Amino acid sequence: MIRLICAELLKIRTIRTFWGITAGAVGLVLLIVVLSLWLDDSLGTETDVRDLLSVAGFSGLLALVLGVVVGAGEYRHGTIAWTLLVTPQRLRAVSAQALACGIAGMVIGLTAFLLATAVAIPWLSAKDAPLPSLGELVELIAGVVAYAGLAAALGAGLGGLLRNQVAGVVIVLVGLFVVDPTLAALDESVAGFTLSGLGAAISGADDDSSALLEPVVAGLVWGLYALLFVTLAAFSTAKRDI
Amino acid sequence: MTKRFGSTVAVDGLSFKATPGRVLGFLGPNGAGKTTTLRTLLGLTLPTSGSAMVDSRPYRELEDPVKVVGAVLEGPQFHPGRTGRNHLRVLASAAGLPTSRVDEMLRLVELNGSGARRVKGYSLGMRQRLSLAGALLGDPRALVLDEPANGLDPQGIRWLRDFLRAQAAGGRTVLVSSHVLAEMAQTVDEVVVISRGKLVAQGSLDELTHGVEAPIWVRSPEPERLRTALAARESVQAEPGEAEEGWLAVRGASLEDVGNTAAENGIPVYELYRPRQSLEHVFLELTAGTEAGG
Repeated sequence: MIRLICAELLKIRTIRTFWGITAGAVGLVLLIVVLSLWLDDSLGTETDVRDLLSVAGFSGLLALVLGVVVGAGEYRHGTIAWTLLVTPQRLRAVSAQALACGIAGMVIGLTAFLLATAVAIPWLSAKDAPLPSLGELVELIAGVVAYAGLAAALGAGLGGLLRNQVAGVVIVLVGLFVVDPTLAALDESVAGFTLSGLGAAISGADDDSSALLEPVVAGLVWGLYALLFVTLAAFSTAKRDI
Repeated sequence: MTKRFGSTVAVDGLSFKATPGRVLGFLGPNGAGKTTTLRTLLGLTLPTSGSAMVDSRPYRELEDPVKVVGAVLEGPQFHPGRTGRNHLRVLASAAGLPTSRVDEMLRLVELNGSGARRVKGYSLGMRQRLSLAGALLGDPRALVLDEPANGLDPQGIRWLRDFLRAQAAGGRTVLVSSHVLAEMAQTVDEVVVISRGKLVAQGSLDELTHGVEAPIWVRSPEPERLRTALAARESVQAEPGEAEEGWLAVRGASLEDVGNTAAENGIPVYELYRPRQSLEHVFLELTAGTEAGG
């Protein structure tokens, strides 16, 4: 299995999409951090600073898109046939891809967080703003990295299930920006179980909502969602003619 | 093995076997079910009934398939943004093969100068070579090739023919489908012909090309006398050739019969031969009247 995951990681890093999405995630996070530091003079408390650094959680959104693009891309480009010729056990092949996407997502989240921190900490120090403790930083980084990894794994499952990159990305965006807010508005108790709510809880973003689950619980729920999609993708691939 | 797509029967009770050390040509008109058969053999398509086995096991159950079967699919697809070398590196990594094997295969298919280029810049022939390199990565005991000559230039086709012959000579099993019948005739030892998903003929190339009776052609300055003399023999038919005067097409007799009859009757003979049937002719005769079925 490790061999397959390594091959999938090689597959991911030998396409421009991965580097483009990583650059996009890092660029987006840095832009938000820099603009906040530059324009927002109210970063006066540790909570404000913590909220600022949790912006790195945006990388999870792009990691989710990466997963969809990689999972569905196998079908778009027809490379699934090569994959299954080398690994005819389809459940293993799909699982390895989801795990590799998860690792790639974690790399994206880690990179975005470290660069955001590298920019923010000296800037905040210069402004004499209160800095988060090492423990808080570790907690934040764990949340952001876990969210990006879980998001990418779920995306890979969804992409493998749908087999269509455009449809997959559109569904993800509509889900996050239309369905989730609508559900949350209709019933606040559901908000904590939507992808947006879970993502905010895992990455440590504070949206002033008491409906969010505890980060670890949210991570487990997201993990179950990801497992569901990967399992569906695996079984659908196993029954499908390529 | 039978494979249905909805109400369409793509492969209908097909059964044949490829043996080590031989090149087996897999022929059929477009839509006859060749690609479906090969993809089923490779575990990419699931049979509706029956089974397709490699080493007495379904492909999906092979422990290390890359070392057992190397496959070239029709119209091989690659990620356009990945380099040829990286494509092979991914396969090698999944199969647990060293990267040195990748460079070795690139040299073998003469793509070592293009391995660092993205596949979207490859010609059809280069993609075909890359596909072949992928098939050979694991030094497999068998090769399953679906239209491998597509896109290859004449030198490439010649190289492929020699390569396949060498592989079979080395004891490997080679199963190859192609629509280039003249090329197949020079490459294969045995032939399986299918039409509308059903087996139409199977045998060695010699058996097949001699299986369809060809007329004996004889040219004489006295064709009518010769025709009368031949017609007097039991079950012999002689008809005037349409193309040139003086020719007779004789069926139901051997070359010796025709020659002896002419000699016994004192009739001069200028030319006498039985043309060997081309694979194309045999193929067209065997599949005559069939239509593309799926």
